[in-house]
Amino acid sequence: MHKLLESLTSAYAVSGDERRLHDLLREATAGLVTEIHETPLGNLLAVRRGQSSDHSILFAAHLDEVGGWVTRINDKGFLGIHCRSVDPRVWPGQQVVVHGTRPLAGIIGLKPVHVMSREELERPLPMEELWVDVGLPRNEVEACVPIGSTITFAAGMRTLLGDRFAGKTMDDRLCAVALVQALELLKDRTLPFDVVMAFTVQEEVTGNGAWTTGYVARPDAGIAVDVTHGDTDGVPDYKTIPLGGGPGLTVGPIINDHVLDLLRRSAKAIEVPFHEEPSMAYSGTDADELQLSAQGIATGVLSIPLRYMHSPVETADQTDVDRTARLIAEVAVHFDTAFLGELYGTATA
Amino acid sequence: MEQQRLELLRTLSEARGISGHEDEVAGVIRSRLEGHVDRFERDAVKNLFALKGMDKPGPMVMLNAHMDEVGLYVTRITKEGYVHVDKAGGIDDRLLLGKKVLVGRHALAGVTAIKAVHLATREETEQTVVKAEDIVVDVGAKSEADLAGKVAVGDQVTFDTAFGTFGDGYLVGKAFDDRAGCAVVMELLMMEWPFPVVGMFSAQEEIGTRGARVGAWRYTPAVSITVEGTIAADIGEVPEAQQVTTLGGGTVLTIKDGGMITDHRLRRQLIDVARANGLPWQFKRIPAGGTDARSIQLAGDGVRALAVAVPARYIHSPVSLIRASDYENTVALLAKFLAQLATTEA
Repeated sequence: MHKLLESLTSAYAVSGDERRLHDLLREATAGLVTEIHETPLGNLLAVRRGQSSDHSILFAAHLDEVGGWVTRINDKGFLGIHCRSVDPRVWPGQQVVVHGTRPLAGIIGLKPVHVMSREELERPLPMEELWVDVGLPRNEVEACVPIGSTITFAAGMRTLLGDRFAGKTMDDRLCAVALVQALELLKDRTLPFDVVMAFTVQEEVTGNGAWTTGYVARPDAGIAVDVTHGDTDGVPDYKTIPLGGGPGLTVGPIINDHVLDLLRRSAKAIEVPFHEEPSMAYSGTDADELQLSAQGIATGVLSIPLRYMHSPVETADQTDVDRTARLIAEVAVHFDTAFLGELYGTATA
Repeated sequence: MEQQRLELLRTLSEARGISGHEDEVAGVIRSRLEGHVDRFERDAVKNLFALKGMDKPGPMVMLNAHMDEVGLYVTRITKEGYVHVDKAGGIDDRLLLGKKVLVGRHALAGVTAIKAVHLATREETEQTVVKAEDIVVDVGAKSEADLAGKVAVGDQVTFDTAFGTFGDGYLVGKAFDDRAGCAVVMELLMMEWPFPVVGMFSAQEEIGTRGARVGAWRYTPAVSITVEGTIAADIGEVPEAQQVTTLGGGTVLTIKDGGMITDHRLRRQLIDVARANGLPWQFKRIPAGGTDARSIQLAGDGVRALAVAVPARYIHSPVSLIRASDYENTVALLAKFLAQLATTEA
């Protein structure tokens, strides 16, 4: 497991707060990239210059995590929250962090069964009935938790058997780690063209980070590196790909044929197993916005399988991260004049 | 709170022991009480007795707290390597998704699975409560074979929750029901008393106060005090009528619960001691639930029994909360009460 994973997934950044991770990433990419830029929205673009800077390929991993926002404080000093990206059934019994003027530990608990009716027990609680307890009197809570403060799951990664681990925010910090691992693999290799590792913002809410990243970087090809659903107990196999079985490659209208072919060829060349995932509309990743950014970008989606997505116990397998990093490095090296000929030759035919 | 107390509570809170698996907790209690009591005994159901001054004159006083916590246990291992679980003790099923747990004797790290929200239907997220028996724990195994020799049916699965300070004067951790009670009883056993004292750390309270049923027959006291971590629902939007107890409100005294009426005379005496010493107390404001005090009350000819508690939010869940002052005041109140008992009961 890469040492960056624990520090990245232990950090807190709900959409909008991504700059909190910049120092970690600047440090992790130091010596591996030629330059690093920050965009007005807070995207971080780490650029490794190639032999020519006439063209570039971009890999994007988003930095933001799912979480909630404080909407109200009740008379006991408990916090009400808004959150759309998490199954509301995950929150009860969870330890959280409230990001007020200082971080506060919180608990989302339920009242005891002794004062619960049978009817209540058989109904999941909607968000508006969940309250965060921070163990402070109301006046103190009001002083240090402005409305709009973010709420995240409490960090605490766990190492499981084999190469597996679980924790919050593997989506998508795991992929940010894969980008850094790829840069490490590329350290002593010659690149035909520039490679941009983009650590993007606001993927979980709008995709505005990817949109502006595409405009700033103007790459020829842009590959969103994100997580996909790993095989899960009780979910039909056709909706997931196997955990530990290698990355997923999305196939569909937002995916450029030549980029997909480059991904496939590269994977085969280095014997990385992969699974193709059809997606007939949006991919649900940064690629959706990258494709339409500026004058259009040839996009691909490379995915690391993940179980229990958008929960505090997202579970992944390091072998999938390693394979993804190797594949990214291989693609970067083969993003060359021949590939550009395929890409633009067909487009102008 | 002083460091020694925090460490005692930390060690007890983080020890693992669902009903029938109280060995680690018993080990912690024994090692901490060594030198403070005369001897230890364990019985057939895993109750731990810490005996002190048994040859002294005067009435035998029992101090009781239960060692077991609510949790999960392994019911089946699938060929894909998932661990099926069910509840050991009363837990609201809705608290179990997406939690960190420790599995089996090797304490393997695991998580309770929750289908990705993207794969769940609206009906599921809004209307379907996943029952404990339908939840699997993922420890990272790829097959049943990966778990051979590591996890077995019947193994305990406990919540993986660290103890710590919280907010302004609170303590967070798992199993304050009833490790807070264990700590109170341990502190009282570290003090000197002029009468025989039986510390009974009972097993299997959470599945029907079973340990105390036989433990109180082994040593049947004249007076017994059961110390619990009891429900406080002074949270969220819960109306006052349902709050039961309040954190910061002091030691909780039970008049009546689902299984017994506590001894009126002893309880009044306890309240007098609290008033005389300016120590806060509150009644448990719902006559439901049950504790080992009932099992003890019914031993032999019958025992004059009290049930007191440290109020705790979110018990029977992965994470609970107590107020340090309630704990400290409970130790102080019971110490004063026992000192007075030495004069009134002799």
